[in-house]
Amino acid sequence: MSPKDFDRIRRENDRFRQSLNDADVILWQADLVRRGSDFRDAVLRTIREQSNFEGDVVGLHDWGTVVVDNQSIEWTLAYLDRNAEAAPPDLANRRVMVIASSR
Amino acid sequence: MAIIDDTNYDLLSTIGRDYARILRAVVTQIFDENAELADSFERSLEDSPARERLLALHESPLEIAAALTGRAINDRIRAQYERLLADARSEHPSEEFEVLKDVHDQLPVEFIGYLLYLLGYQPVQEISGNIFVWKLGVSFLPVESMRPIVLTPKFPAHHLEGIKINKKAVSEFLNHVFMRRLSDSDVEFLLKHLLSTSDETWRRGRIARIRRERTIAAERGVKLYELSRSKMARRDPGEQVAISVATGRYVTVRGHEVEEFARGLASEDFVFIAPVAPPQQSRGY
Repeated sequence: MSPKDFDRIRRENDRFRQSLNDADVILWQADLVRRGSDFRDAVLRTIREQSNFEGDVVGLHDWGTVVVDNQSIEWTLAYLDRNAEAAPPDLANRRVMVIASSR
Repeated sequence: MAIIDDTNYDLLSTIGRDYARILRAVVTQIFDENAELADSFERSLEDSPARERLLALHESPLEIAAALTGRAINDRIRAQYERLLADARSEHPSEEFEVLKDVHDQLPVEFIGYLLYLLGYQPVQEISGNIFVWKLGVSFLPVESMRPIVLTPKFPAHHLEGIKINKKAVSEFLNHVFMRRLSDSDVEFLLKHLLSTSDETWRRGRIARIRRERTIAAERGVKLYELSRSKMARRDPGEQVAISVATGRYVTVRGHEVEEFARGLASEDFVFIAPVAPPQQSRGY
C-alpha cells in the first residue's frame, strides 16, 4: 500500500465513521443491544465525534475505543469484499462497523 | 512432518473424520439433537472441493454445531464443549490435539497465543491446566502483507519447551515449523515481532486477534443478511432486521423489539442490524 493509498483509505474510513447512523449496517454485541436505543445512539454519536485514535496501531482510523455511560467499548471496521469475505483495507472493499464491549 | 494443505488428501480425509466425530458428539451430546444434522454436514463436505473442505474444517465444531442446530452458545454450552474436548483427548490422545506440556511454567499463555497467532494458528486454549492447540487451526490468512503460507499441523512440545526469547532459539523454532516457504525478509518480519516483548507488541497482538474474530462475525452477518434479504424486502419493507450471528435466527423489528430479541441471545453473540431494503438501497450493499 502506497502512502497515498494509505491516506485515501484513512479518509474514507473517517468519512464512513463520521456519517454513521442507525440506518446503516452495524454489528453490535448482544449485551450492548440490550441496553436500549438511547445507549446505542450515544455510542454512535461518540464514535462519530471521536478524534483520539489511541489503539489504532496501524493508523487507518479503523479501530477505536470509546467510553459511554462508564462502559468501555471497542469499535472496528471490518473490510469485506463483494463476496462478503474478509478483505484487506481498500477503497473498493465494503466496510461493516462492529461494536463490542472492551475485553 | 505431516502437512495440512489442499493437496494432502489422505491427511485431509483423516482430519475430516476426526472433525466429524467431534461435531457429531457436540450435536448429540451438548445440543441433544439428531446426529443426522452432523452427518449431512459431513456428507456435504465430502462433495466439496478439497480447499473448501479445508476451510470449512477451520471453523470450530462448536460454532458449526450451533449453526446446524440453530442454538445459541452460552457459557454453560462452552463449558460442556471444553469437557467434551478434554474427554476426546483422553480417548484419542494423539489425534485431536497437540498437548504442550509444561510450557506455561516457562512461557506465559499470552505469549504462546501470540506466537501461534503470528504463525497462523488459532489461539491456544487452556483446559484443566493444559494448553491445547486445536489441530485443525491451520490458517491461510497471511500476517499483514505476507503471502499466504501453509503451516504444519504438528506443534510438538519440545519445540516450545525451553525457548528463551532470543534470536537463535526463535530462529531455530521457526525453521522447524515453517516449510521453508518463507523468504528471509518474511522470517525477519516475524522475528522482529517475536523478539520484542514490549507492551506495545502485546497490545498489537491482542488487537489483531480481536479484529480477526470480529471480521469473521461481520462475514457471517453479511452472508446471513444477503441470504434472506430479498424475502424480507418483499414482506417487511421499511423495517429493520436483527440477525444473530451465532445462531442465524433473525427478526424484523420496530423500535424496542430489537432489545427483546437480544435478551434471548448469549451476551457475546453479535447482532447484525440493518435496514430491510432491496440490495441497491442499502448503504454499501
